[in-house]
Formats: sequence, C-alpha cells, structure tokens
Amino acid sequence: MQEVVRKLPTSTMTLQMGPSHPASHGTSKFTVELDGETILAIDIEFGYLHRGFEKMCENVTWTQVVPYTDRLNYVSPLINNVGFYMAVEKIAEVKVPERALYIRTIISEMSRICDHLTCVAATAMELGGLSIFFYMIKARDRIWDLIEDITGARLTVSYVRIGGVMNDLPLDFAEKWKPVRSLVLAMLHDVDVMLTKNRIFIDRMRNTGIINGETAMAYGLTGPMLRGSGVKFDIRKASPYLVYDRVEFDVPVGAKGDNFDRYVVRMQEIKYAVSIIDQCLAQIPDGPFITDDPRLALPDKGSVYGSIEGTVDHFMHIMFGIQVPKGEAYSYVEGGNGELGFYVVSDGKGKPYRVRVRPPCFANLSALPTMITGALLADLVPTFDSINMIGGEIDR
Amino acid sequence: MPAQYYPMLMIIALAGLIAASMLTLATLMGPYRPSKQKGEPFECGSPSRGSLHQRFSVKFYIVAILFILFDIEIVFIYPWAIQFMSLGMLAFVEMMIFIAVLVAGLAYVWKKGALEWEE
Amino acid sequence: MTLAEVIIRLVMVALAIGLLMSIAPLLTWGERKWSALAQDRVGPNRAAIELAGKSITLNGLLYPLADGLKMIFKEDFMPTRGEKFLHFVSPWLAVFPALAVVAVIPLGARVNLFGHEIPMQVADLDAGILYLFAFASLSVYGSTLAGWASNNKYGLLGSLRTSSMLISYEVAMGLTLVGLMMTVGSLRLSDIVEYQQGTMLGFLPRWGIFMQPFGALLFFVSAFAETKRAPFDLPEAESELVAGYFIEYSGMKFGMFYLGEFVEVVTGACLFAVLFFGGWQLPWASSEAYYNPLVVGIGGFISTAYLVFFVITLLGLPLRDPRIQFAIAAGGFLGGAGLALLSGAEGLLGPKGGVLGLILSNGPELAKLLMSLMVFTMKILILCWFHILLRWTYPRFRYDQVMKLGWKMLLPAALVNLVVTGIVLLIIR
Repeated sequence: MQEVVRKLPTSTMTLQMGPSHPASHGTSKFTVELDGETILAIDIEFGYLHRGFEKMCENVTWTQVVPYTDRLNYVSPLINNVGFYMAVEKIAEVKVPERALYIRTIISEMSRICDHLTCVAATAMELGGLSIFFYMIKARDRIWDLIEDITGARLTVSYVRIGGVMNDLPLDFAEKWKPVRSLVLAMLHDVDVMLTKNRIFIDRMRNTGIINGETAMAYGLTGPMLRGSGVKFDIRKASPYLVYDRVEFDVPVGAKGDNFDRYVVRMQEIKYAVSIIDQCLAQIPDGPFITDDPRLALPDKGSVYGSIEGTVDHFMHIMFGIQVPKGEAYSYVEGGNGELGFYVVSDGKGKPYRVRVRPPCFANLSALPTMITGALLADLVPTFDSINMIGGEIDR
Repeated sequence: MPAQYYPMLMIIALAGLIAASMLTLATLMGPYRPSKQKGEPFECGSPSRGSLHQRFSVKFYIVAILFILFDIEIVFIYPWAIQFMSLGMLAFVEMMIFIAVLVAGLAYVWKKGALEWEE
Repeated sequence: MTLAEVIIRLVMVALAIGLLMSIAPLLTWGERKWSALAQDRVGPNRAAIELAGKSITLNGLLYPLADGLKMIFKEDFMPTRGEKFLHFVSPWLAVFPALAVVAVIPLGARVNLFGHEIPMQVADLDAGILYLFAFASLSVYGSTLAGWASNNKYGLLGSLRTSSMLISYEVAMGLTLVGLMMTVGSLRLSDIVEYQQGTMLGFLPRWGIFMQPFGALLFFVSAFAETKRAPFDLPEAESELVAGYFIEYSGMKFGMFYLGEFVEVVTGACLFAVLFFGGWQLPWASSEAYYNPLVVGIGGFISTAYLVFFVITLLGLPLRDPRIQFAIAAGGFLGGAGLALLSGAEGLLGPKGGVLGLILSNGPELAKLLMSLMVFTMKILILCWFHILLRWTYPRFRYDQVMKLGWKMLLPAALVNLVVTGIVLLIIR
C-alpha cells in the first residue's frame, strides 16, 4: 500500500479554514495543506479580533481599563479583572482586605468553571454531541446568573477595583450558590456518563493532538494544556496568590498530553473549583470589601454627598483618575487557559504608561502545528478546541 | 417482464416525477441573481487557491476496487443462502471454502495496509 | 392485469409514496422536538398561521410547511465554475432512489377485500432485497456528484468521504442479511414477514431480531451509516467541512438533500421493521390472530392509544393532565372497540344483506388491514424515534474510524454471523 501511494503521487490540496468557518470560532484562519485527509502543514493566522487593547489602555485612566480587560478572555472576564488589578496593586503596594481576597478567589473560580465548561462544551459540540453542549451551557448560564447577582452583568462584568472589588457579595450568595453547585455537579456526572466512557468520544480524543511535557514546556504552554502533558504546574500552587494557600485542592495532571488528557484535566478542575468555592464560603470573614486608602478607592457615597473632603476626593478620582505611583510590575494569575500575565508600567500620571498582557492561548496556540501535523483533518477540530483559543485574548 | 415488475415501474416513475417536480419548482419559483462574488466557491471567505480538478489520493480508489470485489462475492453468496435449507451439508462445506477464500482475500488486503486510513 | 388490479396498484403506489412523503417532513419537525426534549429546550414553536385573529402554532407542526415555502422561494444558487448539469441533477439523484425503495416494503397484511386481493405492497418482487440494495446504492451518486460538481474543496472532501463510506457500508450491509436469508430462505420481503409469525423457543416472538440478534445489530449499524446522519455524518461534518457535499446548494435543492436524508431514515426504519421486527405481524401471534376479534381489540387499544399518545406528546400537551390521560384511554378504547366490532360483528349478528352486510362480511379483512397498518406504523415510529435518539446522543466518528468499523469490524463480524448461522441451522434442522 505504501509503495503504491508513493508510486502514484497526488498533488496536495490547500484548504483554507476560517475565519468564516464553524470550527475557527470566527477569529482565526488555518491554511491547511492536505494530502487526502492528512494534514501535511498548517499555517495559523489570527488577529481578526484585534482591537489594540494594550494601546487603548494608555489613553484611559486606571479604572477605565477594567472594561477592556473584560473583553480579553470573554469567557472568564473576572479572572482578567483580578489579574490586571493585582499588577496595579503591586505597584501601589496596597493591602487588599481579607474579604475582598476571598471574594476574588470565589469569582475567579466561578470564572474558571465557566471557562472549562465552555471549552468542553464546544469540544463536544464540534464533535457532534450537541446535547452535551446544551447541558453544559445550561450550567454555565446558571453560574452567569450568580455572577450577574454579584456584579450586575453577565459578561462585561468590570467588577474588580484597585484594592478590592466593586461591591460586596449579595447577602444570600451562599444560599444561591447551593442549587447552582448541585446543578453543576449533576451536570458533570451526566457529561461523565455521556462522554468519558463513550467509545466514540474516547477514540476521537485519545492519541490525537499529542504534545509531551518537554515540548509543552519548550513552547511555554501553561494551564490545562501543560498539566494535560503531565507537568504538575499550576500558578495557584506554585506561587499562591489571593487565598489559594488557605484552601485545599489538588492539581490534576494527564499522562500523555493528548486531547483526552486535557479534557479530563478540565473536568477535574471544575470539580476542584467547586470545592474551592465551598471552602472559601466557609472561611470568608466579614469586613470591608475594598481598601479604605483614599488615594486608591472611591469614597463611599455618604461622604461624597455629606462632606467636602469626600466630594473633592470623588471629583479628583473621576476627573483625573486614580494616581498610581511610579513603578512597574508583572503579575500573573492562573487563568482558564494558563498563565495570564499583566506587565504594567506606571509613570505616576493617572494613566497606564504601558500595559502588556501575556495571553495564555498565544503560547498554547503556537504549539498547534506540532500537535496536528501528520494527523487527519478531523483531528484539527478537537485539538483546536482543547487549546481553547479565545479570540479576544489572543488578538488583544 | 413479469407482471410483478409493472407496479415497480409505476413507483419509480412517480418517485422520479416527484423529485423532478421539486427540482423544477426550486428553479422556477426562486429569484436568480447571480454575481461574480456569489459564484465563487465558498472557502471561508478567502479566494480559493489551487485547482480542484487534480488527482485524489489513491486510497479512495482502492476503497472503490475493494467494494466491487467484495460486493460481487457477496452477491454470489445470496443464491446459496436462499437455498441453504434444501442444499444440505455438501453445499455448506463448499460455501465455507468460498468464504475461506474471501476471508483470505480480506486478510491479504488487511495485511497489505489497504484498510489503513490513518497515516 | 385487469383494470381493478391496475387501480389497486395505483392506490398502493400513492399510499406508499404518501406515507413516506408525510412521515419524512413530519420527522423533520419530530427531530427538532425530540432533540429539544433531549436537550431541555422547548423546541421550535413560533411558526404560526393567523386565522380569525388567532394564531395557530400546533406546537411547531407548521415548521415543515414554513421550511418548504421558504426553500421554494429562495434563490436557486449555482456556482459559476461548477459542473452545471451534474450540479442540477444531483439533488434528484438523492431523493428519487430514496423514494423508490419503498416499492417492495409490505406496509400491511395481504387481505381479500370485496372480492379483490389487496397486497399492501406496491410490488411483491421475488428479488425484493436485491431491489432494495440496488436503489439504496443509487443514492451514493447523489451526494458524490453533488460535492464534485460544486467545484468546492469542502464539497469535494465531503463527497469523497461519502462515496467511500457508503460503499464500504454497503458491503457490510449486504453480508449482514445473509444470515436472515438462510433462515427464511427467500429474498421476497412478504415471505420474510410471513415467516416471522408465532413464537420461537416457546417464549420469544419469532422475529428476525431474536433469530438473528447479531445480524440485526450489524444491519442496524450499517443501515444507520447509510443514512449519513450523526454519528456517521462525517460527509457533512459541519465543524470540519462546513456542510460537506451540499455546501454549494441553496433553497429547495439543499432541501432535497435534507428531505432525502429523512426519507432514508423512514425507509431504513421500514426495512428494519420488516426484516427484524416482524413487519406488520403482532408479536407472539400468528397472522391468523388478526381474525380474532379479541386480539384485534387489544391490539387496537394499544396501538390507537400509542398513536394518540404520540400525537399528544408532539403537540406539547401536558401528559399529567387527567383530561389528556382520559383522552388517551378513550382514544385507545374507541380504536380497540371499533376494530373488535368490525372484526367480530358478522360472527355475532350472523349474515346480513345490503351495504351493511357487505361491510360486515368484509369486516374481519378490513379490521386486519387497518390493524396491520397501524402496527407497522407504530413500529416505524418507534424505530425513527430510536434513530433520532441515537443521533442526539453520540458524537461523530472520524473518517478512518468509520472505515475501520466498516471493514475491520462489521465485515468480519458479518462473516462470522453467516458461518455460525449456517452451523446452527444445520444442527437444528
């Protein structure tokens, strides 16, 4: 058979997939060199969602950057909020109140659940299991309902502030969390039954898109992709921020680094995220949710209307922005897809001098050609989905 | 042609007619406003590169050849299968030999790698 | 043929095609509703007709109509660089064989009404199964040529996948039925149905699925693959090939591929019911049981109640409502009593003259006809439902996995099935 194929060479076919292609999510383009169904070479183009996030940040005040960060990884905007302001807080050397740290942890984990749910759901859908997509999106929607309760918005949350968060958790948050929690866990069980032991799904995911730990590290992969390849690295453990050192959770790792490993890692992480939220809710102390440092936080409405200092303070904050002292900092959090880093430079003039974001999918996507060359065209779909490229983040 | 086939012709004619009427209906009723861009082949919004009318991978042809071989051999089995109860042991043994040849053929193409589509 | 025979045959042709052309569009709606049920959604329910100030939606039943109208009046697009003629005829090639397959399927029992023998089958061919295979394989051309003629790379890949997948599964499908042919000893579908009456081993209905359980499974898988629907929908896998072989089709021509697929689901269900679920036969009973008023009554009750239930669930009416439950029971009771009366009235009342007498004397045959039609419809609906249930449960295969399943699993398994069947038959003979 091999010699027959060699004797009868066929010209290859150049197939362009995307941007207007169901699998490319509208934000990327693959130019694939095909021999029959086998991928010989792949060229990835992205940037269709470029809006100049980093440049835009230089023209707005520190507070006005939050809405922009929402639109980075639009599936888990809360983690972006947290990540960005952690960098700013590093420069300003502000002490964030305990309660705010817990709230930030809770919302980060809720966002992580959304992120993983979306990723697994999209994978299932693009492999043809549309029902599973609906189950997972239903669970995600219930979490978004909760996020709406907390922040007032479902997607464009803009919740985090320098030195804390916008407002406190709703009083009945713990009660509202319970049904959502059980729904998420029940859904995970359903999906486990429908996918994890499904022969077709296993066949599609196992041994496709393999990347070993060494290569993964060489490419700078982080997050579930790196852990799927067997490297036990999670920023929440390696360099604990917020209150991750006070909660118990494990870092799931895969063995082979194929799509199935990444899928399992994500499913496990959803379970750990649920448990982290539970622990945080048990531990969360009472207290302020934002720092009382008048340089950095808006005064409360009572003092704005009731005292001249408050009014002036409010006026200065709104008109000239929060004056973050001169300095620069790099801060990193574990985003849905890996290390989400913000490098921020302040010249002390009320606006960021330079903002640089390290989107995890940028590094993750760069490994796609290695993972997919030589595989079949159909493997591109689960591999690309398990990378979970988010257009808003990678194109910035 | 025996009488039992006439109704079959009727249904073939009717099915053909229904399908054809759907086709003509589609052509007659809808608007037709062609344009250069519309006529381009869809390739996710990018201009198509390279030609389509080229040689496909030989694997596809091999599937077709295998299909013809095996399908014909299976048709050989049918008359025997219908008369199976009246033919008895000898015919069974003979058919087993035939099937053994068939299996040998299958094993051969299997081993040759004609049934591999992965690489 | 006499004139009466010709008329009977024409009516049968209309009935068979009518059955397909009514179930298939209904199935497009049923699929949406069933998938909505599977996915915790409401499903489509907005298409409405405004009538006397009221909008009638029928729980989305009007969607097939709306779709049909939309498709007919949509632009019939033609790619400039494609093969015009082949592009034009491929939808025809996809629909026509799918419709013609129904010719040999016995839809109900053969009865003798008003002095005429009425076979509930368009053509009772002695080579019925061969006819089926012949026409089923013709539909390969439709999808293959469609992709090739569109001059589109996605279309081409889709059509290559279709052709190689469909012909591979045809080999397996042809071989899976050999076991059944050996058992029954005929290719005539009416013989196969006749054979599946009564019981086997004392407690099982003598249906193909019990005589040939393994063969039935293999046949189901390969027949499923022939319909090109998920998990075998890789020719049109939307996440890879966008739409596959019909990517350059719009309007009614696309609709024809879509319809052809659903017609294939219905004919596939018909075929499976005929070959492995006893066709129009009642389980455990012989076909003579159709003359027993009691059996017809009970059967009529169950099947009418089921059909009422079926319509009610699809109309979205609440099953918990006692009135609805009453309606199901009443429908079943009316159906059962009516059929039992029709079947047994002459025996009770004795021979009568006039029109009444004519109807009564044909009553048992008429009851048998109606009953067998209902039983067969019920089987088809259940199988279609099962088909759609699977389609919304499983993810899609990959091309090489499908080919491997066809050649390396189904084909050898069918051969083993053949040999084992032969040995068992020789032993028990």
